[in-house]
Amino acid sequence: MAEEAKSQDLPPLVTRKPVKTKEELDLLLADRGVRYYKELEVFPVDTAALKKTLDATCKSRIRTWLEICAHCSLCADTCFFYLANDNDPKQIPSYKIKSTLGELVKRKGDVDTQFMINCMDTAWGKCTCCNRCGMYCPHGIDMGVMFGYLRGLCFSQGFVPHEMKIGSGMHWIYNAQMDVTVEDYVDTCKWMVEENEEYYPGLEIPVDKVGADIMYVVNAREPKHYPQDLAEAAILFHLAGESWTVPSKGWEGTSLAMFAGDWACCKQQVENVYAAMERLKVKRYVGTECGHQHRATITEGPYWAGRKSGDPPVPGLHYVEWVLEALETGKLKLDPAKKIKEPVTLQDPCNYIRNHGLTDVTRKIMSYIAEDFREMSPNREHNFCCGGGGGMNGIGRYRKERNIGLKVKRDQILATGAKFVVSACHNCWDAIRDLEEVYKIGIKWSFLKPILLDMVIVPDHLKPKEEE
Amino acid sequence: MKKNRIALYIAIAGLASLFIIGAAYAQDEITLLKSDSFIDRERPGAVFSHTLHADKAGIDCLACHHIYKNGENVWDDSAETECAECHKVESAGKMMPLMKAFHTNCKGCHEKENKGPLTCGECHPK
Amino acid sequence: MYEFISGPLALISFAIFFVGIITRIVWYVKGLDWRLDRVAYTEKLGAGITGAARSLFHWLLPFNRTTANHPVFMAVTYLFHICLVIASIFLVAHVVLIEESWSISWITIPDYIADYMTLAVIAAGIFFLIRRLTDPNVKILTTASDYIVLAIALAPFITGYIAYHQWMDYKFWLIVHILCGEIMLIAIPFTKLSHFFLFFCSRIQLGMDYGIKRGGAKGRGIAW
Repeated sequence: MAEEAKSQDLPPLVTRKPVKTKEELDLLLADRGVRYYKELEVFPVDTAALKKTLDATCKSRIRTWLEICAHCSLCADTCFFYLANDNDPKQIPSYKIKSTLGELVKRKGDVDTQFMINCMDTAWGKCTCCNRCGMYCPHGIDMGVMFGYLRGLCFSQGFVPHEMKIGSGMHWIYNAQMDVTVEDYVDTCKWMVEENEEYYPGLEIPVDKVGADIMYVVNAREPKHYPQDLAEAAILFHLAGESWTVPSKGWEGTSLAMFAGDWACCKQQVENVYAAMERLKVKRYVGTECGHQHRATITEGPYWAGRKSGDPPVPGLHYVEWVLEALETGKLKLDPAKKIKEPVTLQDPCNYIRNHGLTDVTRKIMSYIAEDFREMSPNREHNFCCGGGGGMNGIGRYRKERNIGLKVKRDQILATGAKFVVSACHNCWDAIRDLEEVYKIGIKWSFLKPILLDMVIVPDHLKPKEEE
Repeated sequence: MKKNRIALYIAIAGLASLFIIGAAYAQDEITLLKSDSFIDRERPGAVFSHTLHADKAGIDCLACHHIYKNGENVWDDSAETECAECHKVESAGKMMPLMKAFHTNCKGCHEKENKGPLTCGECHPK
Repeated sequence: MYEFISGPLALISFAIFFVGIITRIVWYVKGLDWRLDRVAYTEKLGAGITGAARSLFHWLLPFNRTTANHPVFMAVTYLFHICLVIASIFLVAHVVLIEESWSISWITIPDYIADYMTLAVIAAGIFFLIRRLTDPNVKILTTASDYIVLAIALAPFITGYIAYHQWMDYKFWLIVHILCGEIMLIAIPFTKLSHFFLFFCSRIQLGMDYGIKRGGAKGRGIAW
């Protein structure tokens, strides 16, 4: 009783506004979702605002998609959730979008709380926005795009999973998906140089170097949890002899705001990175081994930032593109004797394979590093989502659904016979790690950087002095 | 006995059919407008009763039969009556192609006079 | 009766059909928004056109994965649509009537081919109906309008077949046939049958999306 009274005095956790202050963020973080979802159960829908948003943003493309869907069910077996849930018709992409966004549009936004919760549970709990279904629809209906749109509508009404609300809040407050400040980041860079310069003389992580060829942008998880990744990137750039830099402000390229559907936050997030590109007058951008970072900063970002050309201020490369270029031009030389001997397979991340066509790039890299490369089936742009994309990995509410969904990737990996999965994407990497944790199929997984570092031939002039 | 009866039936049937055919011919001079010009015809030729049109309806011969000279119809009994003589299947010069000539002439008049069939199957029965 | 439905009513139906289609295409194109859709339609028109052409090529022809994964259904679907369009547009009787009314004409197909095509359309329609009634995946998606739309699409072919073969009361079936055809023409802009032309809009749009943004500029270009 006393506790209830106390919780009533607290400010509400569920609001229609994004989290923009540290106090609100801390409150959300402390809650761990319990009070949050309770509040959501009774949170009213602002139907007038919803209708207004629909009128302003639901245009001919989406309305046409919803209208001309022939209800043919050909999208059913394109969705890994459908397959993983024993062909449950309720997991057919068309059904999922029809019963949520379709109904919302039909009712012109006149829906209730329960309806919006169902929308949320479908948009985040039954779809990772991998866009695979859209590639198989004869009418060219991309349900992944529509779910992305639905997420935006849900966010504007406050119906968003706890962790997604936090994610966009992080971006508002820290311009990063985690509570890493510019100072923290710059310190981590210094620390990583100190840790490694003994083995790689002359190693540096140039911060804010104006006029460098490459501006390297990371995922906040790296400085926060895997700083060695940053060191590996630095060493590889160093060995390749690149002129490169990392920005202080604008160092983070990911966007949980994109997963959350907080479009205003997406805009301010990506504009930070673009401002860094312009401030440092770099020639090119290279992003780390992250799928959604590439999607958010290079593919979708220009549009959020209002860039009519659809291009970022400077050409944007995914890490795999830089790696292949360095291998092909000989900037990085690998020791062929150190090629991976055991069978190895490759995860194609939706965000830069299906949604940015880098299919051949990763395969060419595999030819440099693996002796026995086994393709998954299906592969390339037809590959299934890892099972944890679109923010799903991070949402506790849908952990059970996520783990069921992982079965498809598990079976794909098992079918290759390989026990080693290369994944140049944080989300895929996480999903595969969790897959091993849940299903214990005895696999290893890795980003490209550690593999490359293991094989790279260090040019004589860059070797530590004592080795001479 | 039995054989006879069968023969009888055959005879009666044969006579009856002759009678019917004969009666039909006597009653009405039915012409199939089955021009040989149409090699690959899509529909059976139109059923056309000259009697019904010329005698009963009293339509002027010149309404259908025509040879134009200086804008005047100079057709008479002695002239060519076969439509396909002039109207070829494929249109040649200013001459209306055969099918169009038939349709325009027949259907056009039926429409104008509000008499006679207009639908495809009524002139081209299966 | 026949004069009215084959005359003024046909004219009205065609007018609604064409004006409806043009209006909806204009509405579609005007509703495209480079910022909302996040596709640089005009700035990267060249890449967009390439992507659109690729998209249409792979889906108007059976060179796509869905056909490979669902060969029977897709074969029936292609047959249904090809026969439906060709039989109705190139039927001699239709072309003759249009030529007599509006003095425009085009090539025709022999009646016996149109006859087979009509049977194919009806058979495919029955296949779709049975699939809707029995397949759990299709069942969950099916709404009443799906049946109505299927009926609207099939009616002209069933009645046309009866009328052509002059079974039963010819004139009655002919009139019903023309009415059904007119209902279909009028229904096309206003129902799911609008996919007759919105299919092209949707495919071109997605083709442009992939051509401009999602891999068109990089890699080997994805066909979707």
